[in-house]
Amino acid sequence: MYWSLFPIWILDVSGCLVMIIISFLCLAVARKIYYLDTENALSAYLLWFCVAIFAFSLSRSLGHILKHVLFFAGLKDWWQSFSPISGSINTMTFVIIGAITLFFNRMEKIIHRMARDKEKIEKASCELLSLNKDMEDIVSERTRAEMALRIAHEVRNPVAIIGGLVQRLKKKVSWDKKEQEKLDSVLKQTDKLELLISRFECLVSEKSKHFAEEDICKLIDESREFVLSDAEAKGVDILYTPHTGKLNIQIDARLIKVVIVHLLRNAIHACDPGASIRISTDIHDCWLELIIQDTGRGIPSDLLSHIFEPFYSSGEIKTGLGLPYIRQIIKEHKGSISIESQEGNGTRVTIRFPALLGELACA
Amino acid sequence: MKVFCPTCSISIILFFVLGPVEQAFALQTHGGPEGLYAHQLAHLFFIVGMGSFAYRIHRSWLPKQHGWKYFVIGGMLFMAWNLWAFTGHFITLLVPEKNFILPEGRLVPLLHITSWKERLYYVLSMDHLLCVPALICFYFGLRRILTMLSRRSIKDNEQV
Repeated sequence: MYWSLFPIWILDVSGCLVMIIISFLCLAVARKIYYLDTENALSAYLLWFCVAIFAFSLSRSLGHILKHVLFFAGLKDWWQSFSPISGSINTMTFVIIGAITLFFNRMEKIIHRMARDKEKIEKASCELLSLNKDMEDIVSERTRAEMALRIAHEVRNPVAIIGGLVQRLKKKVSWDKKEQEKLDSVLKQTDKLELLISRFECLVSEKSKHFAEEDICKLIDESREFVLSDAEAKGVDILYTPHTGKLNIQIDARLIKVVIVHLLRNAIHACDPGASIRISTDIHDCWLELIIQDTGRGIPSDLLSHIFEPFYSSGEIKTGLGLPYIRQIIKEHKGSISIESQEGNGTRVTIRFPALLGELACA
Repeated sequence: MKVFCPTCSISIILFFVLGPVEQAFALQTHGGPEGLYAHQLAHLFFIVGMGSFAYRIHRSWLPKQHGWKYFVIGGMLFMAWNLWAFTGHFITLLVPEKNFILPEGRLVPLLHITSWKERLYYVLSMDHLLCVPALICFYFGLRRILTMLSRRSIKDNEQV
């Protein structure tokens, strides 16, 4: 029985041509995908994968087509010379594809890690937005309070003087009925103005509405979580040794969170890779102590004494508004902040809140 | 732990170079079968790579996204193709050269079927039936991914 090899020949040649065309199309699409998002690791991987597939298809198909062409041209012997070269290239492409596809295992881990990091960044970004909103609220609240105080100060005294003088005039001088009515009207208006001032003063009293009993340990945990990605990126460890049990204290949680996050960010900034930051909380003599200690570069001694002064400059180092603002917040909580540092030996920030503000049992 | 000791290494090299008194061949020869074995091993490596590729995609979150399931199918088809071609190379060795006959006036040779080997060779020679669909699957997968990314890109631009 004899079978014609024509179907095989037709299938081989047409298959080879189709392979070249499809692998080329794959490469073109992968290139488009890559250029849509050049920073995407998966897009870059797909491009490499398609380059390898195209090289494989091209080397294999050209080899097969050349074999058939030489056969029909009566140059069968030539194929004996070309065959090892074509076969070797083909084998190499197999190995390249095998290596690239095996690398997908690592690639998947990288992509997974990137997705996780992206999620973390998005979470941090949301928290940052929320913190920013809180800051805006705080600033707006303070502006309103200051405005109210200023108006109260600027307007109350003259109004009180006017009211007093009109009262005196009313008592001392005997006025006819018509003028008495006018004076009463002036007095009525001064009363109205005083009432208006009182309303402004109410705005000031609203300032304390955010004070509530909070667990400071929970707040530290949240703040630590917030800066963890920055610390990880820099290779800095943040170690937290909380006080055993809850440390409830009467505070404005938003403001204290701003304080802790700012101090942790400062500490991370001052640390080199491999350094560590230790956070601890404890109670000492009716004071709640929060300590943030880092093993970073420390603060130069000439700057340390001016650290709470806004925009103080010493050589290349300058202070900003951060630490003065933090001191202000701590002061509003009837607390204190102290910074000890030695250049090259790290910095220790100690914040103390009076335990009386909360329900802490005095040790 | 010190792994590399220069003195020891040089001593070992000198022993192997100068020690044997018999005829030394400077280069290893690469005989005929070596090429086939290398090619067959490369087919096995290809199978392992594609298998790992398809399995990893299947296990990951990717198949939930458009197009990636085509990569799983394509990977599996390529695995099957490799196995097909791997067997085909061995069977080719078993079919005698004399069974390929080119009668006078014919362009395409005929295959003299004497046993199952020639039949199997005939079937296994049609390996494009597997590798072309595999490539088509990859192409569909890539097209879907491109469409999805393009839509997302347009959406992002509209939002901006």
